[in-house]
Amino acid sequence: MKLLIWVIVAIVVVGGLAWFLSADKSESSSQQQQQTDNAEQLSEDGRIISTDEDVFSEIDDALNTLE
Amino acid sequence: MIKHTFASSIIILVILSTFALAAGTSTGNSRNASVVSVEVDEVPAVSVNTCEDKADVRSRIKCRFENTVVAKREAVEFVEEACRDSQGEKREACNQLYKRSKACYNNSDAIAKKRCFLEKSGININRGGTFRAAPDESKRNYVILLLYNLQEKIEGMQENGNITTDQATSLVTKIVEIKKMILSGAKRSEIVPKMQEFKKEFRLVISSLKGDSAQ
Repeated sequence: MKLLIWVIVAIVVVGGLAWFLSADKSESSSQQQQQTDNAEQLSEDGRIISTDEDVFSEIDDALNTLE
Repeated sequence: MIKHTFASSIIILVILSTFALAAGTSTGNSRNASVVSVEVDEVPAVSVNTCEDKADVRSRIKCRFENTVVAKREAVEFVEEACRDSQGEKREACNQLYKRSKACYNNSDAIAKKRCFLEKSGININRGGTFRAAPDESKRNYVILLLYNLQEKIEGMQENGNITTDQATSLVTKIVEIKKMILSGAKRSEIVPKMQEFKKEFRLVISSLKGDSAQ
């Protein structure tokens, strides 16, 4: 009887953890999708500034728009 | 009884190992862990209490590179170097720009960082307007934040020993001068040559860095 209770507790705990981890993965993939959307939106406004040369080009472009 | 105890032990072991697995794969605190290691690596200042007593910008910047504890304290207590020539509301606006943009620099994602810079500069990219149509002041703010981003990178390279204090001082002094020009409303034709000068020096420092690592 005791063993049966332990087995049920173990199943509940392991099942709960598995559910929690899968929810975490799903949230992470949703964040990746959001970032991709942002990238598409921002690429219309200009470059993505990931390198020093990107930053320089961005500064030059911004300075060129000054009145 | 022995059978039950053995079975219970196995089950407890399985439960505990799942917790250990979950903790091991979590990245929630990895950023904080790196912050702690940086704090441990800090070199304490040697008998220098302030860098504000230095007469010129270059000396103050060099002093801060050499005394990181003083630099961190004075970054909170004193107005940012680039804002110091501005007066009244402009000075306060400049100071506020630095304060509200602080969160952007911790962003490791380039897209989110750019979005943050644009927003903190006062450019609402979600409104569908173009950058060109934004107010001049917002565009100037944006350039200042981009320059500050480069400044942070230079400070990091100096802290890690990748570039010398003199190299970092020279580059950051140039950045501060450019930012002052932008804030004072200098014309594009005056800012661009200074920017070219800075870019040339920055590229030279970076290329020497790559040359060193290739050897």
